[in-house]
Amino acid sequence: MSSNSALERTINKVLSKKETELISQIDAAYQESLKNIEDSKSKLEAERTKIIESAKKQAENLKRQIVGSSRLNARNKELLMLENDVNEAFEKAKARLMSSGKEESYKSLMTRIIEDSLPTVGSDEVVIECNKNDSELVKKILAESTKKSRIKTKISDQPINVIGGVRVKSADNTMTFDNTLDSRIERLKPLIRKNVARMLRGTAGEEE
Amino acid sequence: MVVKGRIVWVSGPAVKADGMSAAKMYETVEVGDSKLIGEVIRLTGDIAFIQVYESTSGLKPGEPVVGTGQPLSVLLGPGIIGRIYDGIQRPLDEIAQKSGAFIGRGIQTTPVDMKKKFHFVPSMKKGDVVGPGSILGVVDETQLLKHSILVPPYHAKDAKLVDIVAEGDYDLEQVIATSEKDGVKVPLKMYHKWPVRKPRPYAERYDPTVPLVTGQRVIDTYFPIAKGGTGAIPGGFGTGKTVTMHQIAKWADSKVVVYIGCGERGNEMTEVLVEFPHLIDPRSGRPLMERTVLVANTSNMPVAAREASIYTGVTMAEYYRDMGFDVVLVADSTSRWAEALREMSGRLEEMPAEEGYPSYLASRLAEFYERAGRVRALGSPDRAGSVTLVGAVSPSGADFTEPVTTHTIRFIKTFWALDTRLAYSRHYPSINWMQSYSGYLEDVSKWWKENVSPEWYELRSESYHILQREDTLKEIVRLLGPEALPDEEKLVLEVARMIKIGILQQNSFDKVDTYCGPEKQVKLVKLMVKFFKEAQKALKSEVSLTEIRAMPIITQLLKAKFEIPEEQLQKLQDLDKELDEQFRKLSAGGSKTEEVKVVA
Amino acid sequence: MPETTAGIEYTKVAEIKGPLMVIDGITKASFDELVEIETSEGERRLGKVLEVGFGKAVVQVFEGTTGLTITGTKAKFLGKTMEMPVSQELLGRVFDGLGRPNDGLPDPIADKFLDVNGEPMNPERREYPTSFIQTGVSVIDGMLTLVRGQKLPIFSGSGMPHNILAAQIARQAAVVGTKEDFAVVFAAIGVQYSEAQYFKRSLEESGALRRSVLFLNLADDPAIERIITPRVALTVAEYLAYDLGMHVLAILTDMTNYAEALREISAAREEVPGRKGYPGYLYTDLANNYERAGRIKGKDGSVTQVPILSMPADDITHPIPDLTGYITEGQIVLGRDLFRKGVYPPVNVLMSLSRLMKDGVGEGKTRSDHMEVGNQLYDLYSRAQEVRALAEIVGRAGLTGTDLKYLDAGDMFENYFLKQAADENRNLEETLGRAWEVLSTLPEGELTKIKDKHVKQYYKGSK
Ligand SMILES: Nc1ncnc2c1ncn2[C@@H]1O[C@H](COP(=O)(O)OP(=O)(O)OP(=O)(O)O)[C@@H](O)[C@H]1O
Ligand SMILES: [Mg+2]
Repeated sequence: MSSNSALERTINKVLSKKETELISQIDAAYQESLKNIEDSKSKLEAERTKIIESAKKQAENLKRQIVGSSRLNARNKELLMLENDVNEAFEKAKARLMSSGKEESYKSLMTRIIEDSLPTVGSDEVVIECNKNDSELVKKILAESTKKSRIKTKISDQPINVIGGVRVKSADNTMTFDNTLDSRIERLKPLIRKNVARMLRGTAGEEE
Repeated sequence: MVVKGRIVWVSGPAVKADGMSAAKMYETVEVGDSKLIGEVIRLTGDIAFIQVYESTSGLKPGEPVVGTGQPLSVLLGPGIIGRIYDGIQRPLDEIAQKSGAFIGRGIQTTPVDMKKKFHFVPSMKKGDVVGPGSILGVVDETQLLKHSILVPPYHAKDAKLVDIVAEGDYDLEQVIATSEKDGVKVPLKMYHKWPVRKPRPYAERYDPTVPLVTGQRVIDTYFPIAKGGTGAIPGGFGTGKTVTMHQIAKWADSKVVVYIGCGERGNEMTEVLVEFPHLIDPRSGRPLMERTVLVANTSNMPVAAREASIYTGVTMAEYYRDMGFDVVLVADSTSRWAEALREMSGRLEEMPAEEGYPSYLASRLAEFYERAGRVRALGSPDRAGSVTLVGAVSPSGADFTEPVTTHTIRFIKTFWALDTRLAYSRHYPSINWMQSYSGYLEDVSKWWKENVSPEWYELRSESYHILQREDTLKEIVRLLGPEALPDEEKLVLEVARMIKIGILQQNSFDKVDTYCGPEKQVKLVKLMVKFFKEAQKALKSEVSLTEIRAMPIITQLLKAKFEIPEEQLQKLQDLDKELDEQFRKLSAGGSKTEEVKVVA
Repeated sequence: MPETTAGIEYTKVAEIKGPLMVIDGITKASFDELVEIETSEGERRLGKVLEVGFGKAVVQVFEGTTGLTITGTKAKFLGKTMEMPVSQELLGRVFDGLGRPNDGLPDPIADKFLDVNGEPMNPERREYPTSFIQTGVSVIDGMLTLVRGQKLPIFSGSGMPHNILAAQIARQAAVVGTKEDFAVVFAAIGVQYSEAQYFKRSLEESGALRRSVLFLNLADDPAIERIITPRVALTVAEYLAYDLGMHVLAILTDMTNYAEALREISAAREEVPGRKGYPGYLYTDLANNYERAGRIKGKDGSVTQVPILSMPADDITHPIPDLTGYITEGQIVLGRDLFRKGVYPPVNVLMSLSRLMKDGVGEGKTRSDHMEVGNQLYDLYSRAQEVRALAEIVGRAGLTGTDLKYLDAGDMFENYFLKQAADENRNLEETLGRAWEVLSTLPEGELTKIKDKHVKQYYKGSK
């Protein structure tokens, strides 16, 4: 009996141990699942913030893009407007030049232009082209200065449509030197544009 | 008579001018209205071909060419050290003062400050005999360098000194002495000029026997170069030519360093300019800049001046050699110089040889390297000086069979072959120890024996032998894997790895590792060799390779190069003890297994 | 101020061959002079003088010689070299490959006109580049650090994502901080429309377009024009950097097309060729472009260059990548293997290098262990690659324990450190953190490139 009861006791002991173990296991499992839930909750949380973050990032990007583009567009519109104004100013200046043709200063300018142009072409025989109004003036200037130059000159009978100045060609027509006011203005255009733009924008005055 | 010609043709740096029949070959000329500097490189009839050292953009036919009567020359006198010049000895700082951050054209400069006063201490007196190379006296050019004032090599022999100034401060334009021979009096100043394409004469040539100690282990220990010797360092891009050149320029035990940046990067020259004034010469304690001259003709500067820069540099080097100094000249890169030759040759429509290089490429290279040497200088007092020449070579496609590399190899004695594969695996300096060689090994071993360690030669051979064995074993490993080898051979691989990491690899950018003195070099090699022998013994006494591989001493040995600075070399002694101790412990463990065996 | 004297116009065309035109009867022309050509139909093209003698000049025509005739063609020598108008207004603009507006807007109003060839920077006046640029790309920041004023090309091959990488660098390095002193100069050299468009969109999306200047020479644009495209772009970059004090990132893609245009001219001039038919002066010519990166003492701005080039047949020894590598301060090489494996960015780290890294990292700049970590990573990956090759022959069984560790570390390096998303911006702490995680999978004794003190501080593995 005693052995029996001893056996029983042991069984009981084992059983109870199992029981507590079981209970503790269940408890552990419960705790763990709780923790898992906790974990997945925080994971979910993290996932959510990640999604929100990335959405925010996208929104941020979009904002940057929109702000950037609209600023750029505004700037570009301004550039176009400015260009209109510059062109207008330019045309006015040209028109004024056209009408101021008969001043005395024009003659000395024309003289200089011709004197510069003749040797530049580097040919012994040249043809000079100018507009209808200037051909008399050119003739006069040439008559006054031919002694100084060995270059043979001829004035073209075909007038060209320019504001002023001359175009010099070698007699064989292989070289041309364009020294008309039009081409001079064209070359100065960038500089003039810069100055006109400055004035239009109201930024302080001329540069040296 | 001054030659006056007229430009008839312009194509890049090449200009043709007519009316030049009176010009001399290699005469310097002023080209065009903006007076660009050029040099006559060919004469046919009255047409001269001129290479122009500045950009020819905007130059027109018809503009004048005016001769100077002089060949391209450099000014030699105190004030050169510490400066940075372009390829034709124009100081870059002076150019910057005149044209700002970008290099303008037609800028006139003087190579040194002619108004700066130096304290001259005469070493000769009235009545002394003077001749080419005689030392009239000395000035302190920098705190590191006593600059001897030399009588020019072209001066008459056996002249008499009829006048010499007393000790005092003089500038370069002042006459400091007068010589007389056959009634002809010659005023002498502290400088003279010398044509760059002509080697400066000397009295006698000596054999190079003293190593140039560079503090770079793979160079000094395995492939040494001698003072007065020649070396080339070829390698593909990014393999470490420039870093090695910088290392030599920094740490070589020479008195003067001439660094030529020839067609390379601007920033690399800037790096030298920024770094050297702050680096202290380990021997003198003075900033390295006080012994250095830079010649910089970067890749974006005119190519013709690139061609000249090599000669400008070597002429300055010879000048300091003639004072009795050891001079080392490094040229980075001679390939860019060869390309400049090729470009000019192409523009002159010469018949090309291989890859478009002119047929005279080889002879030009030979002439250049021939200017190295240890010599007895002209004049009294008796003195020996040397010029060591080291040239980088940049082979296209890292292909060593291209013309510049193959021709260079013919004229140099030390060959440091850089290996792209080593560089890819970050083994720096990526000098391939199987391909490289030194023709000075035997010559310098005496110096090592006498000055550093009697065992030097043996240690070098033994450690090199391990590397050689590894090289043959590598083939087998590649086919069968390392486990196929017996332990004894696996040990060879292991120790070879240790030598590669602990000795051959050297990090130039580590404060400690950048310079490794001769003593440390020998000791490190000795430790590795000792480790090998001990490990072999241990293997024989049945210690397993795994146990050997796990020894903590290995990592310590590998890190000793940067963990133990020059001032604490006694720590290497400690390592040595530690090595003994660890092997003792191992074999103590091993003897147990032996006992077991005996019992069984 | 622009020239006030006009140039002479010549009509005696002696010969037209390839992109070249030989003009006779020249009395005044100078080397490098800009030439305006008018076809018999009145169309205008630009060119420049390559060679000039009495009575003869060789002119290279940028837009090609197609349609030019011996008679009826006029060539006007403009008395100046090619110039680019520059001003702050260039930001946000798009130009063609010769620097002419391409966006429907007027010519920019110039602050000044600059010779597009530039002048060599005096090395004595250079400021040595030392400021770290965080690109947010781990492999670059950790192992191939880019510094301000560096020239660091991307060597790529056909079909590989060099544009995505370059755009990511531009976005994350130059733009995300939206510091107002940043600017991007982008030069498309003979690339496809879609590639240029991708870049433009990327800049637009990050709001950086208004801080960018674009030069577009597309695949169907004249080839010879490509000689000029990088030059105008770099001229603008220098202006923005040194006159306006901006930090400029210049991206030039694809330099291979540039070199091919150069070869075409050289061939037409019948010059003696160097390797693969490229002219002997290719090195010098490329250097004249690449060396236009850097910083200047006493000035705020910088020009950082990221040229892109495709290696013909993925061959790094081809003259174009080869000579580029000899000039630039390192290279980022994209690898076909990694690309096939789907790793982005597919940077072949062993072939890649940043030479200025050593000067841009470390104590006081980034972190004191940065350089050593970079070196150790190289070592790790190089060992891993060796072991991989070995494992293919002998199998894993033939490897030692340490070898196996390297094998795994190599995989981790690729997947955890190298690989990242094209819009993922990692800061340096994260990059170095990842690096240490990879390194910590090796035994401590393997870290032979790292000082003991750093191992103590950061190593997380077992002995
Ligand atoms: N001894 C060294 N220690 C550490 N790093 C080195 C060493 N040698 C070379 N390197 C590394 O290799 C890089 C390239 O070296 P270097 O600039 O000397 O190459 P190079 O051969 O001159 O190339 P190139 O022909 O393109 O000029 C260096 O920036 C550095 O990162
Ligand atoms: Mg180099």
